[in-house]
Amino acid sequence: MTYQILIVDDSKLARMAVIKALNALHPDWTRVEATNAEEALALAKQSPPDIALVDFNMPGRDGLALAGDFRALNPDMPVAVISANLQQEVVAQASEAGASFLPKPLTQDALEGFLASAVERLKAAGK
Amino acid sequence: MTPPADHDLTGALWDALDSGLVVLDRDLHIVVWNSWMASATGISAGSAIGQRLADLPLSAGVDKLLAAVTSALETGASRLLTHSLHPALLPLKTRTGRRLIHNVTVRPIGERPQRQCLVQIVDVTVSAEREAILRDRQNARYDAVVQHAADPILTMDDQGVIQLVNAAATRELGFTSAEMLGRPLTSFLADAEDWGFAWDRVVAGDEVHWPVELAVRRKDKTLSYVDASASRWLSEARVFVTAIFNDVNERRAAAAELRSLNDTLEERVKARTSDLERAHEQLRQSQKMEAVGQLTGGIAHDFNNLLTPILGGLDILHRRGTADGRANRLIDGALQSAERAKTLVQRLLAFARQQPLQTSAVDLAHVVQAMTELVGSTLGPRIRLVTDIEPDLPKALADPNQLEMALLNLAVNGRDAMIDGGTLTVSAKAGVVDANHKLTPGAYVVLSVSDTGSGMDAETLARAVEPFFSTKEIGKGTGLGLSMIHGLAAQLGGALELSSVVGVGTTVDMWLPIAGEGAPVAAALVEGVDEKGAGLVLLVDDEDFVRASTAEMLMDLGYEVIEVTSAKAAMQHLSDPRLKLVVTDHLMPGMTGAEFARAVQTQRPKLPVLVISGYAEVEDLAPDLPRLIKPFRQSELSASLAALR
Amino acid sequence: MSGALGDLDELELDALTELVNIGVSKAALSLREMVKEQVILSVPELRLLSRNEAIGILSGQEGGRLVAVHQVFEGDINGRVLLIFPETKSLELVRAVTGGELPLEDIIELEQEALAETGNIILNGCLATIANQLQRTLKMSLPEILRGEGPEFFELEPPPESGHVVMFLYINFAMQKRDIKGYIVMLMDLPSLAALKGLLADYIHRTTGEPTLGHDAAS
Repeated sequence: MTYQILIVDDSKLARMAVIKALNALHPDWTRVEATNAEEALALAKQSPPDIALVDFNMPGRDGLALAGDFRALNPDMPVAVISANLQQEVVAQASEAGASFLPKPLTQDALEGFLASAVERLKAAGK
Repeated sequence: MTPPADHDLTGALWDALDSGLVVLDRDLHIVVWNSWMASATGISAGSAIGQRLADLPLSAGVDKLLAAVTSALETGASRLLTHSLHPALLPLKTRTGRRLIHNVTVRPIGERPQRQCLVQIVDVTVSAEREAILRDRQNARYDAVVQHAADPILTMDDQGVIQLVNAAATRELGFTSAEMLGRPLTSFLADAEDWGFAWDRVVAGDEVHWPVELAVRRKDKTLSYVDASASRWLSEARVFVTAIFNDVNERRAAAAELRSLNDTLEERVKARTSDLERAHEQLRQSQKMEAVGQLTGGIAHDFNNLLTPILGGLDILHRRGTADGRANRLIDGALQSAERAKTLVQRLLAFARQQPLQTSAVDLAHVVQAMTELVGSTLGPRIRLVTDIEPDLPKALADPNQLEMALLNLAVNGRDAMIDGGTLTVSAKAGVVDANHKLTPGAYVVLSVSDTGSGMDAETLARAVEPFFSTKEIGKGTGLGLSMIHGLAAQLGGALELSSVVGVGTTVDMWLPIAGEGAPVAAALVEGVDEKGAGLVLLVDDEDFVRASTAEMLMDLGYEVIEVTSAKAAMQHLSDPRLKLVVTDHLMPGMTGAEFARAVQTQRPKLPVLVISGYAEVEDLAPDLPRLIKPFRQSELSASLAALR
Repeated sequence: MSGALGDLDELELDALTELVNIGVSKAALSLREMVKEQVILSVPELRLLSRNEAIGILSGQEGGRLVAVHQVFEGDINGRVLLIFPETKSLELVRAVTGGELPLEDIIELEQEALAETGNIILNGCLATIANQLQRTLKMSLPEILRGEGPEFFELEPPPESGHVVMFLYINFAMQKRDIKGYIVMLMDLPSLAALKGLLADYIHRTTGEPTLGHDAAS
């Protein structure tokens, strides 16, 4: 089962890092990149992704708000907020927005864990 | 890089150091624990080395320290922990046993990945305590003075940002201290200009002329006015400015009120002055009127005296009928004029005096008739007079003389309102008052005077019955007329009603109550009798012509007359047994007619006395004295004499 | 290494920004432990400027006196780093970090130490992350507080030579309902800058699995 994964981060390096990890885990999945929340939403409406990875610290609308937008758009889509900002408030806010939390710098293991649970959720939702 | 030293030197160095030295490994076990640490913690190196730092009998602050160490080993970054932010990380004591205040730095050692962490502990007790003492002292001073001050006190840094507010400041302005701290003072001022100038100077350390008045905006948006004074002070080379606000809201309110009073003072003075002037004018006018009244009274009296022989003489001539037709017509004309003159004088006198009302049953038709005759010539050719008397009108309860006066007044007002001519309508009709009226419900008669003149606007109408209110120039018209008529109507138990339309005309209605059964009939309208008499009459009058005319009348009536010019002279004749009557004038020099009449009554009680009096003085006579008002015609004299018997 | 000396290409700047952001996030975590409330630190922008440009920004934007926490770092790259913000904001920062209820005198007394410690946490957070990710060791000095106007910060005594290139970062602090904006300025000598460039290239390669533009795979 291939899925489409949306990666949102203003840092090209960060996106590349995620893709590198993704290559190791699911090379067949489609990846779509966006550099900010606006772009991400536009893309998501055009062609809804199955899973989204969102950087917390972005200029303009931040990752947390975007996670909220995605949830409104598609409550079944698993979303992860990636951030070096490991404060309890941020983690709590992420989970309120219905998203998982992944620390930066992103390790392959952490990503693997998230994707596994994401796939399960999608299967359960019939995708 | 320090040269490698032998173990002894290294150990000696560590123990010689005057600060704490601890080395922890990755598992947070103690690797190095120098002498300083031993004496500061009371834990020897022997007891410490090899143990986990967490297991030593230390205080709760050690957890923070361990967290920092762990973090440092992870990140490879050093860390400073100050006593200011982390008081008492470790329970350390100085050599004298007092609390040892310390800063801690944590530094991972060696190449990455570091396996050991150096913890340095530095004694800062002395400076910290000094600071603390200073601070406490200052805080105490501050609390005592500033927090309890009644005036708002604020401290700003040199950028004008509020750093401190006392309780009075938050109370006065309605903000919490959190809402004020960190914000520029100018954001609370309604007008920052005045303050700006003073601010620049005080920050620079230049002299400022305090206080500066400021308008401070409270949280509820109202303004609070204060006198501000400020001074600068230095702390560690930083400049601060402390300002004190003195509430001047009361002062301002008082000043504002004073200002507004001052502003209106002029107005009020002007108004008062013009009121006073008007009052003076009116007083002058009424005083003039009173003088006129008094004068009129005197003139009227003289006039009456002059009229008496005129009327008397004409009367006699008319009676004798000896003249031819043409002469008779002349005599008649002259008689009528004399009668009119007599009436006119009476009215003049009535006007000049404020007489108490003498009510009787008055036939309004007669009153209107009498007035018409009188007023006819006064109105002039351009004004048409119309009378409209309802037939079988009941008699009104009124003072006939006053009523005639009122009617005359109204007619004159009407005439004056019709500058270019018009119609004056005088009417009398019955009227009924129902409930909800100021008058007692019942039947009334209404005497109305209507003109087709300029009319009055609502404002003038409202003021028309005010005494002294007149739309005419001062000197023309007294302004007393309508108010007196209004008073008259009220005294009679009736009312005055005015209606007017600008450009159309005015109507004045006098509502008068109907005379009851027992009302006296007006004496003045009783017709004379032509009864002859006989006997000796003593006639007393100091006025020669009047006396002569009266004597003539008496003789015509069949009496014999003894004429004397004074009461004193008359007294000598009193004992004359032939005397049938005494007729005496009242106003005479020496003894008055009234006094003489008394004397007569005393000396010869059965001798009838008739007192002749002018209209003006008739009230001075005691009610029981028979009187005749001059001028009079023979018939009136005859009637009065008949009444004596 | 190619490109003009002191030049970092887009991806290298991107990488550095990422590293700094990760670093301040870690610092924010430490600060949060201190203030017991959410602390948000972010570095929205990173630029390489000339000294004059940097002085221009510092003087122009604030136009007044500044306060700086200064540290020196030594290792494979050497330089100095300063956390700078307007002096008017320093007391506010101290209030934020100490909880806000202290009287003014205490705050003044504490200011030096509180600033020093806070700056230390932030700067070390950045530098340590950079060092770790670049797999190098850096030794940081203890913090020192400086006050002055922009130009003064660029005329400090050695070590190191400041060079002509300034790494200029905008930093936002948001804590305790206070928003404080400041700057981080990193001054390095040219050899250090060159070394940094090389280290970044390696880092990029490691992270993305791709060789960077102009990177010589052999070096």
